[in-house]
Parts: sequence; C-alpha cells; structure tokens
Amino acid sequence: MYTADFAYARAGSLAGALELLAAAQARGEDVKLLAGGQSLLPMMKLRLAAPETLIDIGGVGELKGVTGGPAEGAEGAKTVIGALTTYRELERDPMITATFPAMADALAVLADSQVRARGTIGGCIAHADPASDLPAVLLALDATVTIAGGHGTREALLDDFLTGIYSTDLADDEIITAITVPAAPPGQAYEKFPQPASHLPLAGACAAVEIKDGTICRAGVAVTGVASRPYRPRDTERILASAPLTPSLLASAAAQAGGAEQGGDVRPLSDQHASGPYRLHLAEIMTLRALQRAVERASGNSSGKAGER
Amino acid sequence: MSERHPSGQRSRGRGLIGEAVIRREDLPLITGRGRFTDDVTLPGMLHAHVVRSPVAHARITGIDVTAASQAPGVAAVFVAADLDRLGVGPLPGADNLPPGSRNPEFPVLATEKVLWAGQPVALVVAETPATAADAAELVDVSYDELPAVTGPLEAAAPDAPVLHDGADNVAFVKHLRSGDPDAAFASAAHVVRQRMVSQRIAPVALEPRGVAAWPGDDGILEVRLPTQRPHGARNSLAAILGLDAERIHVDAGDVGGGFGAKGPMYPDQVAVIAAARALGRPVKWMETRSESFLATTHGRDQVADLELAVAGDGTFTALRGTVHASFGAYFTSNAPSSLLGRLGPMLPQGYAIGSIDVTLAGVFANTTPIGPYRGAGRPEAAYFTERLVDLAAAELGQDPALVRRRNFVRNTDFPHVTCTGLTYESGDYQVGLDLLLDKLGYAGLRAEQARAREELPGETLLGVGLGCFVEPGGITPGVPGPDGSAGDQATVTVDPSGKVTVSVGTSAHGQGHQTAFAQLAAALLDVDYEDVTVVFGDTATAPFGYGTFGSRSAVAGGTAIHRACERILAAAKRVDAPMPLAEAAARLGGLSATAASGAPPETYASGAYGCVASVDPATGRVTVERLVAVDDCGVVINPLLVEGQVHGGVAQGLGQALTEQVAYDSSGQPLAGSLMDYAVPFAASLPPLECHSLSTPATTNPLGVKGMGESGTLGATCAVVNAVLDALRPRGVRHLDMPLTPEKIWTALQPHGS
Repeated sequence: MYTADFAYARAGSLAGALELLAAAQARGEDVKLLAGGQSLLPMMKLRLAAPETLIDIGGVGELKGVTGGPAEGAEGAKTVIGALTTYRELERDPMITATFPAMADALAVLADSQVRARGTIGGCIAHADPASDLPAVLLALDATVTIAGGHGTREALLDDFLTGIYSTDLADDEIITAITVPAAPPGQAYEKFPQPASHLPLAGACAAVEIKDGTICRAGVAVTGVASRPYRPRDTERILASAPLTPSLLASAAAQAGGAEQGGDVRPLSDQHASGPYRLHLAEIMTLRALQRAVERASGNSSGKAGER
Repeated sequence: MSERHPSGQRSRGRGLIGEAVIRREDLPLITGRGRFTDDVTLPGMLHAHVVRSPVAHARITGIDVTAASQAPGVAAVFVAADLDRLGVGPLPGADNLPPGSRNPEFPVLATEKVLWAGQPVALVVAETPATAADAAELVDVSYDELPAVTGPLEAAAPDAPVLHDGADNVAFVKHLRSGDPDAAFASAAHVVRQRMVSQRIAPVALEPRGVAAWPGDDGILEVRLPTQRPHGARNSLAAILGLDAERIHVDAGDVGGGFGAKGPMYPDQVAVIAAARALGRPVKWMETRSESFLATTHGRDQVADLELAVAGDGTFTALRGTVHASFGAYFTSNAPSSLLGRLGPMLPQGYAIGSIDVTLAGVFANTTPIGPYRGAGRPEAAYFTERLVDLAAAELGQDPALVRRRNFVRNTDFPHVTCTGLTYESGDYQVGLDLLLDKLGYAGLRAEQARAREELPGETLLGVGLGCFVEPGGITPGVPGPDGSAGDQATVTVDPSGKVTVSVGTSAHGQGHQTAFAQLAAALLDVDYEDVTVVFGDTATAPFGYGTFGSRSAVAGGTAIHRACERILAAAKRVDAPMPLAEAAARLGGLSATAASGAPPETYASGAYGCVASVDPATGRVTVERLVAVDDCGVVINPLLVEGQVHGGVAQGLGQALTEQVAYDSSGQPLAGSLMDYAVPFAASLPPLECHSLSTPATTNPLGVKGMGESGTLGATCAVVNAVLDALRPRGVRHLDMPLTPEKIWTALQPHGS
C-alpha cells in the first residue's frame, strides 16, 4: 500500500522539534511526530492515518538512552529512560534487565526482532495501543511520563496519562521526553497470552511484589490487552496485601484481575480473536501466573522464563 | 536420508535418482537475483490501481470517473463499458461442470452488480503506484446495497439473497452413488454421524499476485505473470482478449509460491493487460498484501454432513451424506473440480468401503471466489473421513490405530478400485501405519496418556492423533496440446559440447524442478548433473504444458522428460560404435528430441501422520509437541525436495487446524484484512517435524513416481485435530470445528460448554 502525500521535516534537537511542531500547528496542519515508525507507518501505508506533516524526531540524541538506576546511585535511585530509547537498547541493557525482570520478560516476547530494533518506548506510550506489552510493566512499576511543551516541562503518572484506545493526555504541542521508573522490588514478572497473528497480547499481566515476613507488603499489578487501556486491578492489589502469602491468596487476588478497575467494572474488548468474557478469564490466568513467578523471584529464585512457548 | 549432495560436486548416472541434491535455484533467490514480476521496470511504464467494491452485495447505480481521470499523473481510468468497447472479456466461468449446472460469466470489471467486497469495479492507470492510488480514491461509485450471504449452508438456503439470475444460489448438485448404501446402513451395527466444517482459508503466498504487460516487437503482446500455468494463461488470455494465442508471449519468471491460487486467470490481471494494449505502453500492477486477502482466491469453505456405517465387527461398509461447498461470488476455471473430482471421489480414502451415497452441492455466496488451495479437495476428504474414523473408534471403544488397520485396503488387493470409481495402483497402508506407530512410540504414548488421566486429571491434557490418507496426483487435463498430442511436452537437447538443456511444459513456482529434473535427465542420459540446464515457465522457450498444480509435475513432466531422453538415447545409437553421449552428440552435430507425456494415469501416494498435542485447560491453548510424517510417494527423485514439500504442507495443515480462518461479518465484510489479523503459522510456532518414508512404486508411469506435493496438508490437518480432540475426549468433548482456537477449546471445557 502507498501512503497519501505528506510533508516531512527532520528535527535535530528537542527545542527544534518543539519549534517545528508549533510552526506546523500555527499553519493549521494535521501533524504527527515520527519516532521509530513501527505503529504510525503501517497505519499510514494502509491509509488509516494520513497526517499532512511528519516531524521526524528519530535523530534527536538527547531523547535517547538510560540514566540513573542502582548502578549509578544509591539504593532506591530512579531510572530515567529517554523516550527514543529502542526496545532493542533496553533488552540489551544489563542494568535494565537486572533491575526490572518484568521488563526483560516483556521485551523478550514483544513484537518481533525488526520492530524491537526500531520501536521506541516513548512511541509506544504515545501510540497508546490497548494491546501493548510494555505499558503493563510500566504501570505496575508506577512509572511517570515526562512531557515537554511550548510552556515548559511537566510530569504525569502513566496511570493518569493513558486515557483510552489510542488516546492520551498529550497535548498537540507536546512531546514525551522520558519515562521514569522508581526503584522496584526484584519480585516482578510479566506474562502474556498472544493473539496468534500479531502476537500482541490478548491479555498480558505484570505483577511486582515485595514480601516481608511472609506477607506481601507492596503489590503493583497491571493488565493489558483486555480493556480500552492498560489498567491496575486495585482489588487484586488490595487482596494481595491483606493476608499472609499463600497460594490461595494469589488465586483469589488474581480472580479480581478482570473484575474492577479503580472502582468501576472493566469493560472488556471483544473482537474476532477473543470475546470479552474470554479476555477477562485470560486476565485472571495471566495475572495468577505473573504473581506466581513474581513471588518465586522475590524469594530469590530467578528461574522462570516468560510464559510464552 | 542419503547424504546431501554438495552443490557443485559432479555426479552422474542412475544413482542420482534418490539423491538429496541441494536446490540449485536457491542461491539466486536468496541473494536478490530472482526475476520476479515486480522486478520488471521498463521505460515509460505506467502503474495500475484496482478500484474494488467496498461492499459485499450491491447494485451499482453510477460510476463517476471525471475527477480521477483529471487527477495529476493519471493516464486513463477504465470501467466495464471501456473494456466492452475494447472487446475484452468476460472470463468464461468454470470447466468440467455437471450437465445442467449454472456457470455465470465472470466480468473483468463489475457491470450492474458487485457480488463480493473486493470485486474489481474500475482500473486507474497512472505514472506511479502512489498517484494511481491517490486517483483511485477519486473514483466515485454509487452502490445500492443488498443483503449479503457468506456461508455455504446459509447461501444454499431457499430464502437466501440470490447473487446471480435464477431462483437460488445452488449452481449444481451431483450425486455419487454406488454399491448398496441403503442395505449397508440398514444392517449397520453402528452409524457415526457428524457435521464438519472445512473453513475458508487464504493461501498467503510469499509473493502476492501481479502482472506487467507491454506491446512487444512485431505486435506480440508481452505478459509477465506470476502464474502456475504459462501456456494455460496464454490460451485463456487469447480467448478473453480475442487474440491469436501465437500473438501472446507469457513469461512467468520466478514465482514466489502459488499453492493453487496462481492457477486461474483473474479479472484484475486481464484489466491491466487490456489497459497496456489500449494505451500502447507498459503497465504494471502488484497486489498489496491487504488486497490479496480480498482479491486472490481462497480455499476450502465446505460443510459436510456425513455418516459412516460400521458393521458389528468394526468393518466400515458405507458412507453417505451431503457436502455443501461455497465457491464465492463466481466460479474460477477449475474450482469446482476440487469438489467434484477430489473431495467427493476421495472420501473412501485408503479404506475398503463398498458403498457410497453422497450428494455434492456447489453454491455461490458474497465472498471472494474460491480456487484450488494446496490439496484442493484432498485435505478436506481426508479430514472428513479421518474424523469419522476417530468417532467410530470412540463409539466402538477400540484403538483408532486398530480400527484403521482393519479397514485399510490390503496390500495384496492392488490395483484397488474404490466405490467412487478411482483405481489406486499400488500402496501398503498397513506397513505405513506400522512405521508411524513405531516412530511415534505409540504404545508408550497411550500408556503415558492413561497414567496422566488417572493421576493428574486436572493438569495438562495429552492427546495422540492419527491422520492416514491417500493423495491423488499427476492429473493431465483432457484437452490436448496445440499439436494434438496428449499431455505435457519436454524437449531435450544435447549440444555438440555435451551440454544438455531440458525444457518442459510443467512450470514450477518454488518446488525445485530445476534441481529434480536436472537429476532426472542426468540419470537417464548418464551425463553430469552440472551439465544439465532446465528451462520452463516461458511460452517462448518451453514446449507446451499444463503447468504445475495437483502434485502433477513429477508424474507428467517427469514422464515427458523420460520419453524425450529415450529418444535421445535411441538417436545417439546412430553413431557406429558405443560411446558416451557427449561424444555421440559431438559426432552428430548435436541431438534434440521432443516428446509428450501422453496422459499417464493419476498416481495415488499415501501417508500416515501422527501428532502428539497437549492442551492447557486453564486457557485452552494447544501445544503441538510432535508431528511425525510417514509418506509413500513411490520412487523418490530427491528426498530433500520431498521433505521440503512435507514441511510446507504440514505448516499449512497446522494453520488450518489451529489458527487460520477467513471470517466475514453479517454484511459480508471480511474480518481479517492483513497479517496482523490473519494467523498463518510462524516458523517458531512449528514443532520439530519428523519425516519418514516408505516406497511402493507407481505401476502406471515409467519412473514409478507418485505426486506428493500436497501430502502435508492432508496428513497434518486431521492428525492435529484428532490429537486435540483425543486430549479433550475424557472431558466430554466429541467434536469441534477448525480452527481449534484457545477460546473455542476453553469454552468447550467449561461446565456449560458443548
């Protein structure tokens, strides 16, 4: 397929990109930022997207790379991931895979080798595909998004930033510059059940747990692929921290993974690949499996590759 | 398997037959030196874009091409009336239909009605593919939408929306009846019945379709076409365009897979060729992947309601029932043959069943036209029968391997004439099955399964499935060649330096014929393999042939080459003393001989496949743990090529069994328009394949070869489904239709499930 006509501009710096963005908007153009192009370009080739102007930020070096993390600072340091850092750079970063085993799980089963080579973490968040692996991990780990705009820089919790199917809180004149992940316990894992063609998750779940004296004192759980946006099943998290850790506690917590999201019921997606009830069921099973492996890892057992195949 | 022949090593003589010579065609293909249709670039070349119906069933109330014609870079826009004026079309419909069938003409561009979402309505020709696509968006077609119907049973219903003129959508009904089915069913101790669906699937060749056409020298129409049938394509084009076939040159070049779908001539290709003639300039069109899901023929799409009569001792005595097959919106040339010549007649498979009473109904529906797809009726027949056999074994409470063996045609009973009138020339189905059971470790697997069911009832469910089949191959169409001789032709030339050129009318699209036919000729002529060049696919350089489909080329092309080589050897005897062929050729100033295959009877290869599968009851997900294939295709020319065919066929069989389906919504809109939604198997999702063979040579052709290019789809589809349903049987699941998706299985395992 061939894209519709579009204008193309390449930014050399973040400031330059913001200027190009402002200028295109002043002219009233429908403009999109191009990062790795792994979601936007296929949509343009199918003419599902036809922006008038593309601003290519792929060459903006200041938005690439990982800083912070335990390797550089004291225990508890935050990890800051530049928005243009590719999946490949993340999966080959020993600090990332050691500090965030759930992210390593997700990167190992995310799309294919070609997409991982080009796709970026910022592009993934900005695209807000309801079935995307990494947002579940970032959500469970309480990540924040750093956003630059004409009026300065702001921070948002990822949970607040994601608003629905392909929609976020990003304003037309803003650019995501970084994702920040706070220090996380080693007890974390990501499990996914892939759609057979795209390998995007029909359901994916990330669990991060900290265990003290046989009880989970901190739990972060997030589910993706099931609803219009990745969500935190808060009832699951509450149950996990409510009683001593037993296999049946994990099961009853997981049973709520498809049940409630911030006080409201999850409205599951439904398509030819999976009905709503089946997606909710998979949410429970993937959550249970992620929890089991997270608990194993919390207990110092680093075994257990990602569940897919 | 014998030692693999390193490329470049010199080798000659009879021993080359059966040698695992590495494919000589691969190096250019994997280093970017292939000659594909999209590689054709000519000065002044224009590019076409096909405007397709966005709706499944509608009356066209108007087409306005004004804006598109005036768009920048547009050379012309064609609609049906323009092609009429040029004297083009329509496509003729199907061959070989029963008397009284409906056989509507297939318009090149839609006229009053569109009958499927994707039907060509107009053709835009412009300077670049992108400008053609832009202008195509400006073609304004008004549709008055009509209700649509998509499934074979729904389309056959009396109250269904009707596509073509007439009272209903039933194009033909044919009865297969022989023996005494009524008595067999009346006296049967058990009757097993099941409705089974072989769902609509897409071929998904690596190279989509396309065409490039231009006016050549001396008024010759030059056509580059990724086709399985270069001569057939030329003859079809001659009839549709109203030209003498000699005025058309078709060159297939390299073809990136076909699986049957590159057999028929398509309306979009005809429109592009007609545009090139009208404009007097080269025009190229390449289908996009998304377009391919709408425009390239699909396969399968049948619903079978079948019954098997079983005597008290477990003997199968008769088959009866009805198969409804959808052919989509129009017949493509050889689509109905898949049902009439393959699916129906092959229902007895390898079993000595004496009676049959089966009705075959062909219907039209508002879907992409059906074409032959790898196996073309054979995998469906094997699937339906092998499911019934497993259900019979379950009802008898007997081991499915035992039930099969008891009912096989005995190896002493060949040639065997089936109750449907086919003659199986040779085979040994018991030995094939025994080999499979041995390689599977069948008894041990059954013991392991029984233990697991006893000790771990809630855990992973383990299943073992068998799929035994007979594959007819090597069909030769009844229409003779231009010189009146029957069959495909081969010309073998030995030049004075001893180099041999084999040109043959069977045209390959990935099978490895350059390698296999070079081996064959080198062996028959006792010359060096490296001295043999094989030519096909170009009507200017290859002699007449029917092309490659239906596992026919080793049988038909091989027989033609064999006959031509015999003539060469006879001619070489004209020299006064015995001497090597090269010397004789030098003395005689070169040798050349052409021969036709005649019409060698079809061969009947066979196989026994086994699958070990596990099911995760928590999600319904299937894991194929093992897939073991035993194939008997008679004399093997190159075991490496045979194994490659098995691998590809198995992948496609697994795809149909587990993940693939072309589905439509109630308005006839396809639900999967790209490889993001249509799930073909990934290399990483295939189990390790274990391939074994035995050989009962064909008695009906001089080489003893049997066609086997489709066996993997026959064996894998039923072995995998039987394995999954074997795993689910203790949980009360009797049958599920393909694809066996996790949700379907999980739902069936729920207490409220079916």
